[in-house]
Amino acid sequence: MTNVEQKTIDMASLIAPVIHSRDAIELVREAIQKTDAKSVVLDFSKVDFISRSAAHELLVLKENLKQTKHIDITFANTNKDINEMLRIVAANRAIPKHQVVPMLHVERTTLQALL
Amino acid sequence: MNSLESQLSALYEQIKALKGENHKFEQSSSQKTRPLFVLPLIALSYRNFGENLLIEKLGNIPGINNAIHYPIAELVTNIFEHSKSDLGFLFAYYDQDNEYLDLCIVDCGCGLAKTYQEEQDLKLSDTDAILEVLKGHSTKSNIERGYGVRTSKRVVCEGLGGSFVMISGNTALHAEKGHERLIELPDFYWQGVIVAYRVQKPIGPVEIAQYLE
Repeated sequence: MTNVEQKTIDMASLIAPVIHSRDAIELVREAIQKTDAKSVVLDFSKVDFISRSAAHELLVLKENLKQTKHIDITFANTNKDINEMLRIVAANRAIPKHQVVPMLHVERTTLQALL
Repeated sequence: MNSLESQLSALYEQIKALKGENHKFEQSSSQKTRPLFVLPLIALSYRNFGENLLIEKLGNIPGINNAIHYPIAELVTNIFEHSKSDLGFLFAYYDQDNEYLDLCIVDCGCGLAKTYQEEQDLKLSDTDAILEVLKGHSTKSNIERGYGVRTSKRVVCEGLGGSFVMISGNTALHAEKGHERLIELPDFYWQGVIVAYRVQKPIGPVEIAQYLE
């Protein structure tokens, strides 16, 4: 393992310019665990999009690594859309929002009738 | 033929064309039922779902990237996280004349009702399982999860003015123009989940953040 104060991870190189899935964040965990760095910068400069699922997993990872290994993770060079996604997910983590679904009309018909 | 019928008809043709073809992108302008592309989705190999081709079709409109990426990312992720299947399919079709995009994401996994039963020991009908999904009740028993389908539907319907269909087992959800309904189909059963949506080419900027809850 390398012994450095701070490590920067290029997210686009590690995963992709479009981060679709929750389990892609496992690659981030593995990359962090390969170093002794106590401060990790996730560089999003070449990332165009992150899904809600991946953003949630990333925030959970950040919290877990802080609590269990005292590793600080910061996000750098995030574009406006990624900023917004991380903020929305973080806000929802603080106060989960669940909607009541209105009563929906249930019809019975056949597929052939619809086609 | 109304919008739901048109969409289901196109979806039905696309499902009939399900052949497990190799990853390929091809443009089709001559045969209206031939998809823009058919992409097998294999777990852990999904770095590109062809969204760039879709974005190109809809034009360089502010915010369109996010609006295309978001539902595809969330709905494809659901296949690998919930369906217990390592294979799904993504169909895309663009109608040049009427300028709309059809997308269909399909898996042949557990289906919603069975997933709730296996993960949470909940015995639900297909109809009730769809209702639980709309409430944001994740099968993973995590109150912070469960937003993918509902917010994707909002992006498609409210953000892009499109229509959205989700089918699991013998029940379909149809959402369009502020109306939603559940349709029980006794002559049809899909083991897994089908999500299909149609969006018209936007005429102005698209902003999806307000629909992400």
